[in-house]
Amino acid sequence: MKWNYALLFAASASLALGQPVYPSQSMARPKLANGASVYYQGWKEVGGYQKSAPDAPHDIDVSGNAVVRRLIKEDGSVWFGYQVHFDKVGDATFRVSFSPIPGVPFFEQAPEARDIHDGERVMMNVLEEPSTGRKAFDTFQVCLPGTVGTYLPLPYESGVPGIIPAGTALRLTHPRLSRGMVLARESGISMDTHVSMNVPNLGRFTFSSSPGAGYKLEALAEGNRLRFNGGADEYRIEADTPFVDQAGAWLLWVRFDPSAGAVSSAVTPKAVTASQDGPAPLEITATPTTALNNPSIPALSLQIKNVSTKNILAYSYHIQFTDSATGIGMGRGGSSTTLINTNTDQANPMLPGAITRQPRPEVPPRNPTGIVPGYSISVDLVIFDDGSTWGPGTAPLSARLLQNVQLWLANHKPQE
Amino acid sequence: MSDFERDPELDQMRALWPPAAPAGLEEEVLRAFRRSQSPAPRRRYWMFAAAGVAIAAVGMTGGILIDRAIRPAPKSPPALQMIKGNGSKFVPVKQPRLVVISRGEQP
Repeated sequence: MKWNYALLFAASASLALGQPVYPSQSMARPKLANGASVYYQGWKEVGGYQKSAPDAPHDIDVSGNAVVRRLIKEDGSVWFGYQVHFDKVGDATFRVSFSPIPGVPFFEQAPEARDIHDGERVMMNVLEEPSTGRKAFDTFQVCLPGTVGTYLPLPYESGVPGIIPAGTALRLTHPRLSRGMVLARESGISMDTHVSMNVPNLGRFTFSSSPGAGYKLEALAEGNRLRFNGGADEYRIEADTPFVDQAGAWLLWVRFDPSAGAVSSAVTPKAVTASQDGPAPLEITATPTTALNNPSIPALSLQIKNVSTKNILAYSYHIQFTDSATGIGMGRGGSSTTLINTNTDQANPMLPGAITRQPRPEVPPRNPTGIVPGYSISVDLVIFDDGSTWGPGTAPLSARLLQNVQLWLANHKPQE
Repeated sequence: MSDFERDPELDQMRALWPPAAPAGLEEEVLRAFRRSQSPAPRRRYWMFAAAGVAIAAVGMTGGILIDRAIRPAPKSPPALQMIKGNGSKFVPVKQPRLVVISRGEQP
């Protein structure tokens, strides 16, 4: 069984103390017996960190062609759950149906089964709070091998998102588009039922309040922020005014038209073929310290020196922590850094011989000893300001780093 | 002053009427009548009563069985709820509606 699980965002505050409450979200990508992958997201209007018992069952699991969804109490017991089946009824069609988990409370009535196509996404409310009307829902996108799946951007602050009414005017005011770092900005203001933003060497993103050819319901407007998917990537636009006049979170339609020509050469991850000849251009030294927000937690402070003869524009490294007694791996850490000021849109490269210190210490995984376990640090990728690279660049964050910096370089070539 | 002629025979009969009868005659006649009747009506009475009780019992049992058949037992008791540390109380939705959101169906 192969599936990835990650808690994306969880934050809460006490209602009793009158503090604001925030939604929480969890996500996973289980793989079914029929070969399809399911992009699962659970969203709850009132979040909260829940400490789970060490031997508690998984809240998402797979059984054949079904995803098993469990809601688990703090003591590790399952208080509610269901199985959602994705049975193939055609080459690219799935029947989505529900059944109880034996011995676990289920809905009074199962949801009616639906047939969906490869790549489609379903959603249903699972829990509700009668006194407030707040809800928790689950979404599932089913994808056959070769179909690009994505996670739907879901609200960070608002309640259950609605689908934008067709014909609603959208507004883009001084938008800044980012994908980990700001990639493009526009100074104008546009307002229409569909608005767009072009990123040279990447493509054009068009947003609409009505469906149309090539559009996907994969953008979420929440205040001045718009989050959306373009291809397999996640993007964000920050603007000076709200995208829609109506308060709350709204799902709207987005179409991504990649640029022809330059885009592929600009964002092709070249790091995998980058030369590793010669010494590493960075020298990283670790010294013991404590975590920024908790002096009782041991951590590592990293000092980084450019020992090459070229200017460094970005770099990434990773750390492998191991149990000193057994030599067994305990976890990984790492970071990527871009020396581009996205506010001024100017590069501030690390010159040869320059030394910098990582602003956030690396915190090792929790372990019974209470001290920093054994570790090894390796440079994964270095990008010079002439566009050349050093390092294997195998870490996922390195691929994104390289795409972003190459795109920035392509759009900031010296005028000839 | 009479509007009809007197009937001597009728007068004689009226002098003799009513005939003298023993005080227990009525009781004896009643007991004789009861003895002359068959005990079957009493048996029928009990038979009808028993049948009524049986029909009522069958009806009640059938009603309960039909009620159970057409009304499924609730699978999530009303008390089922998740109380979070922040005081929020969530309960399962009774019958969720599955929407294909990628088609623009409203949640």
